[in-house]
Amino acid sequence: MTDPVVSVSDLRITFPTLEGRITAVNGISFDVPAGGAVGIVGESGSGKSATSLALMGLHRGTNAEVTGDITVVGKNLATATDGQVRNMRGNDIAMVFQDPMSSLHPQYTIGNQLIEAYKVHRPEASSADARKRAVESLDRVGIPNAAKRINSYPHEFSGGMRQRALIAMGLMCDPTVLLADEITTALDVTVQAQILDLLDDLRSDLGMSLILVSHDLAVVAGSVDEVLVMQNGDIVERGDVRRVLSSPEHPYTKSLLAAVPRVDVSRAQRRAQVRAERTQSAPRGLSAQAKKALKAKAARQAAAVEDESAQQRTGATAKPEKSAESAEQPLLSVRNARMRFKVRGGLLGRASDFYAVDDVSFDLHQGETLGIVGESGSGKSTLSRMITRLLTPTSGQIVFEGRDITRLPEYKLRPLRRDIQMIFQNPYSSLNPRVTIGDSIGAGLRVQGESNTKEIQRKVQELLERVGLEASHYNRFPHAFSGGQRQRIAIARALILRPKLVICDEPVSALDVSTQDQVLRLLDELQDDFDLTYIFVAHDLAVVRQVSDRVAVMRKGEVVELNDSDTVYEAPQHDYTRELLAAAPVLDPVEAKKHRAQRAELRRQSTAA
Amino acid sequence: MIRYIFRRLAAGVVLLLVVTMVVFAIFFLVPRLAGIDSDGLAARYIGKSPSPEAIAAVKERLNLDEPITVQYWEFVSGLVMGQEYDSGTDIIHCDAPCFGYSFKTNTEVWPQLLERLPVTGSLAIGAAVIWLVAGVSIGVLSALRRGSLLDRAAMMTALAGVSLPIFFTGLVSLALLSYYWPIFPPGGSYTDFTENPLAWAHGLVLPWVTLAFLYAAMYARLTRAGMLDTMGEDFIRTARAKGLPERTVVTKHGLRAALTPIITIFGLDFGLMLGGAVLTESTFSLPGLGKFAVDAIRGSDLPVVLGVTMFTAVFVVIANLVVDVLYAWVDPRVRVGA
Repeated sequence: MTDPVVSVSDLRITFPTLEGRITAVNGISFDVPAGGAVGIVGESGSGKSATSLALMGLHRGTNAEVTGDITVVGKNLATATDGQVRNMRGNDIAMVFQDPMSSLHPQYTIGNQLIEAYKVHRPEASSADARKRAVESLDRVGIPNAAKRINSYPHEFSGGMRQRALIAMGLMCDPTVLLADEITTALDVTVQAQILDLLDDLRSDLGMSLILVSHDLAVVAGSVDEVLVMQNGDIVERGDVRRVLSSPEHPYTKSLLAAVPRVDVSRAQRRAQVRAERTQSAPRGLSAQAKKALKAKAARQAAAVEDESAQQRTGATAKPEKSAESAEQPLLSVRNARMRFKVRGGLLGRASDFYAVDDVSFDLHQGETLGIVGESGSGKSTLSRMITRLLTPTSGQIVFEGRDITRLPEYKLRPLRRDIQMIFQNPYSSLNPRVTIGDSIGAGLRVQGESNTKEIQRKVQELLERVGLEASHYNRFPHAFSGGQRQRIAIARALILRPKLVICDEPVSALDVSTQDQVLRLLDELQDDFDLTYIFVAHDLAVVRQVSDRVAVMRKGEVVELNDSDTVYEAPQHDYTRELLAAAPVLDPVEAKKHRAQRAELRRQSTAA
Repeated sequence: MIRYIFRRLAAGVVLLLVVTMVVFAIFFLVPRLAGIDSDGLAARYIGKSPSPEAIAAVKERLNLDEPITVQYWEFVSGLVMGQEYDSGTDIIHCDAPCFGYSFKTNTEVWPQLLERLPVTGSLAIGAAVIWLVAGVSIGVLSALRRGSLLDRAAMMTALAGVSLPIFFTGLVSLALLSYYWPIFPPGGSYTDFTENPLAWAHGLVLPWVTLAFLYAAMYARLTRAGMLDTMGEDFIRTARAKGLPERTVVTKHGLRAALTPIITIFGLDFGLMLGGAVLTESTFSLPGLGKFAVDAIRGSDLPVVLGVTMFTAVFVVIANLVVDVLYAWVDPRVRVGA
């Protein structure tokens, strides 16, 4: 057995704050064997990023205090000089960062930045050599036409290509260890799968060791041998990835695993589970009668699930709950909606047409949830903005409760705004930081003509309690809340007007898995209590499956597949849907390997064709 | 890139045209709207107690009785092709580019502008070099050693620099370094560069430093804020993770990004200054454009005031153009939206 390439013992990192020192990492130890792959998993605040920065010696010169020993490829970071540490960075251990947009310098070409990474460690290399090396490296990570794209600027690359370029930068000096910090978080599922496949290839081809840091267990499942689960600066569980994922020992790992949305759990199963748990835990403020009703609902649902398995999931089973009503008038119906944007470009700056949404039609019934999945640029957000009439469709119709609202002027739309509300993705930027949350939530009431301040406050506080916050939070500002709490505030803001239709645009994609799970549960409960109809827009296939009765898959502005959710997931009709499903990360490492092989096969076919 | 420059150029020409309109309106349309008739307007172009004949002659020369559009056309075409001021009895020629004719001193404005430009140019260029070098380097050092004694001292000095008016710092420096300790020549001494470069520089040190002090203070604060933002960016972390020496990280990665917005402000400041650093030139009695304008205003020599105003506007527009092109060169993202 050779020496480990990275060895950490009793690593402790503290940061000074106004309230005294905060311990980010609390005495952890681990080894990474040569050629091995270790995953570090944890939610925000677990200390995983502080750990990875420590491995690079990047806490030097900051206020952070690092104690304990870190040895990287035979060098002890605690005793090394600044020069030695610089020598190690990029050469022995290379780090690939999250958010490739901000991690690349916007004013230098990709090639320039790659060459720089090479020449700093190989000062004797000629410019031509360095350039050749950069082209090879870009080629290696799958950038097409690398020799030409080397002269591109980061903004000329797509998100996935930027991430590849960052990996290529890491590979410039053939490092012994590659440290990847949340590198797929900002990416679409298919791109995420490609990047993870690439890392796997690089590992086997170049014999590199890999440290994969992520908040997502499913991301590490298929790519590492050993996994460390971190919570509040401690490693709470470690071991072989198959063992940890199949039979976790620590309660935190268990809860984390339980919270991960699974692509193979259907809406009906999850709903039944949520309702069952709800009746058991007897939530506050719910009358005995309501509990009874819920119990009945849950029982019906459980029966339906059994039915379904009996029918061996023929695809037509999991009908929307209120299928009896589908004969009635739909709540919302979108007919041949198109949205055209003018794109400037070309030699003379002539505008060309670009259809962000192209001929989309569907009906949505009361109490139903329609999931819309698609990757970035697929038009899903544009579509939701058209339905709320934040955008006016170029052509087609939006019919709400039998009324054509496509071209209603703003003053006639106002009463309608009460009925259609939106919940946005980023809970940090979608709340005004200078307005108390009470005012933020109450603004809707005020706009709709309520002027009794006491009454507004009463309603808002009631709703705050309903979404799991406290009435006393009324006068606080958004910065006092965590991401999950802020999303609850956003939900309260959408619900204060008792809307009929709520459009959730990526409502949980910025949240940690466990928070994600709580927010999804809340949305489920609220749907029951307020008889809401949802349109749920997300890129995460598993999340969409769990909340949707029906699912529309969008690509390049078109709906390529629209069916009830079980059919879409169990028997996808369109190639693109299959591609998406194959790319979705799965928790089972064996399954993940299988998917990877499948993807490789798909790629071979497409290159052969 | 070429297309971008072309577009900017076209925009610059349009902007210049708008500037002529505004300047013309201020001098000829606004008084008219304020109820001053052509006689009253003409009287302003002559000395005290003008004779009716002189007024009639100026009215005729400036076409003040013609419709405003005709006057504007004469004004603009004069800028490009030169102008003839015809009083009916005699004709005064004003060669292109005609920036006006002073009836008080009986001289064309343009040659006088050209004569004074080198003074203002010398002052502006020298001061700009000093304030850029000093302001940016102090800003960078302050940002890197945030909260240190150096940072605090520098920012205190910068605050003083921004707050103290030029006529104060200028007069104090003259009193100390020229009269009390006669190290530098007194105010009003300007030697042309072509005559004696050393004397040129020696005479300009005090005005340079005085003017640069104010701007260096502003630029130090700007640079510091920009550097603090930039050094917290993710790409700086990437640069460090590559193993680059800290100096390269700061200069090549940090400063480049932080300087980009400063270029814009610098272009505008410098352009404006070429039109005359009024306070500095007055304080040090330098015969530049600013002093020219002040003297003209004092003597109510309207054509000169108008000429200097136009001249300054042209410099600002040109500076803007240069900045736009420079910006696109420095920051590739700008070219996309071109």
